[in-house]
Amino acid sequence: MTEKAWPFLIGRGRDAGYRAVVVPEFMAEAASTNALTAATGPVDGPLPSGAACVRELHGLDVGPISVVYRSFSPHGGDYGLDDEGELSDGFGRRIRVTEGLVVRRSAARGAPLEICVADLERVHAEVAGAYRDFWELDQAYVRRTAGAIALGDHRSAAVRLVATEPWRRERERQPGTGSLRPFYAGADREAPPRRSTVRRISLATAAAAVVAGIVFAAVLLTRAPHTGPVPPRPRPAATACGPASCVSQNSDVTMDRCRAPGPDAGCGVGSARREGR
Amino acid sequence: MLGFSGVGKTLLLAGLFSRFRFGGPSGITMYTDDASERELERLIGRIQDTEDEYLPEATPLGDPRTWSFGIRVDVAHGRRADAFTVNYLDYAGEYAAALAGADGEMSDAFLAALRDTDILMGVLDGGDVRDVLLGDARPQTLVKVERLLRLLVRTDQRCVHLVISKWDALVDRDGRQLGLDEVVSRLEQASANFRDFRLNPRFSTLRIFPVSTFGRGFAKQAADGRMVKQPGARWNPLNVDFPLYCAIPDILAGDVAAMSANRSGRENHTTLTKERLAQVTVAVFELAGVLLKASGHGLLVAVPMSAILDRVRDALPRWFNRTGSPRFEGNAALARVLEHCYAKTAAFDGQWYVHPAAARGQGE
Repeated sequence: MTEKAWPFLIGRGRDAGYRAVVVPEFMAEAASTNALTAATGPVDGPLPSGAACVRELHGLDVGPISVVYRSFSPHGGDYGLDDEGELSDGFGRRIRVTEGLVVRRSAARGAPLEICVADLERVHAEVAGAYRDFWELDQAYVRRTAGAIALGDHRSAAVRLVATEPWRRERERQPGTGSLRPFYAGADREAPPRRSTVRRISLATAAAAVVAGIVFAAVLLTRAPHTGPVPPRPRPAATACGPASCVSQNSDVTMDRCRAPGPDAGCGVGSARREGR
Repeated sequence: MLGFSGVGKTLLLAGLFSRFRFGGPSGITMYTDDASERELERLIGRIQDTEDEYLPEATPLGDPRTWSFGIRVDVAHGRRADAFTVNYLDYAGEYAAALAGADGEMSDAFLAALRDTDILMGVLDGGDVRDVLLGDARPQTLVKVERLLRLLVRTDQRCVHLVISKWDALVDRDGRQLGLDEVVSRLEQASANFRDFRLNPRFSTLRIFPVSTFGRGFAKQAADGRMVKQPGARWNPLNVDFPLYCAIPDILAGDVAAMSANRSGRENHTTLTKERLAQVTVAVFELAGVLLKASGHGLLVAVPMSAILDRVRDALPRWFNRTGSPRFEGNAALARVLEHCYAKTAAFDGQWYVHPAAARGQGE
């Protein structure tokens, strides 16, 4: 059976910051596209030639998906731009573009995911026109969506897929994420109530009752005249520290790039569609 | 550090780590895990090599990265102790911009990480500030500056300050370096919103840090916007350490203020729990002999809250002069760092910009 995949591209312009320039049409809803940009960040260590990263994304409304992607620092010629030199942003920094495709299943389950070099070249051809427009329109560019393409052009070599750990949305998206509602819950205020099952609430209530009893007893004791030795000072909660491993292995420092698609990759006008506002 | 793309957050990280690599007379050093150390050393090495054109690329989208640093104090006879840990959040500035209203994707991970910070330093791009002051800015530039201020107003952190990065770029048309007072005054003329931000009572001790990670003369901006390193120039970051030094007393002051605000009736009583206070604050209380005693109505503090900060400052010399404890352990290291932080904070407040002006020269 021919497998379908949806192309995407993440990049930045001279002034317009990094964003999803082309997204799969089934992911066009913002809650899914920000997962795409979050999960295709820099990878740890160099990718061998002819390889691409593969990563599963879980916890999305659209169900489990897998993304195959590679990042590189493009030249204008890769996208048919007049300036064929290496692209850089308004601060003179080299730009990184991530191109890839999305399949609507877990890469680890079912049939092995088979991606060929020609598939990635086709992805490039599909999104190149959109990136060219983004480069020229910059802030005025409107994100486009891409329809499915069929995988399995086995005339070319298979791409070596380097798996990275699955990405999972940490919590369900709150309505109106644009607001700072969770942001306002500062250290001095009560944290917003978490979702809890009836069982958890019951357990918490029972625990609270026990703690309240203990505290009440402690209050009674502390109100009594103190005749014993001076109590020891409370130990600080934690003052010493040790080297801690980083939360994420992501780093823009160590990341090497995949090789840019060659000029023969095809930079035809992309079939990505403009997304209505 | 809360700032948009291109303000220099990653460079600030490199500059900060670079500043605390060797200790100096205070013996205060930063350390991290081996992998992060290797990355940062490589980054610093390439930045300061003027024969290498390399400068860090924009941090790409993806989940934010937390760099964790131990603050360690070295003293004579090979003794050392850890004081506390500092986490530095590095992320794509696009997430902050999207949060402030620009086009782009939001990031739940970024929001969560931001929510958990003790101190926020809003980073204004010195190049943008210069353009605004000289009347060269596009309308969008001032919008960008004000959006950052708005973000800081929306947050709920106890300690908020401003960093103006690329300070070496703050020169007038004749090449004269602008002073911080002048910059603030002219920014207020250009933006009533900046003035409103600065006068907001919530930012009662707002500091504005002029910082240049490159330092003076290390790099110059080419016509295409690229920063070009000057052959043979020495990398000498300017003021990159002040934000960290001033942060620690601010955490203490913020916690004591929060305890005072939450006290229920009695002067030395608060409903805040120890768990709600920063770990550094709890440790410093012990250092200063301020007992935190849990009671049925919250925390009972051994001395009046109004006197806690004075007590902490007074306790530091006694701590160092005490006899009978040859060990150099965590609290001694914390005391050493804190003493240094107070001295640096006082120096900053006397020399640079802190709002309100009456607070100048008085330290924390």
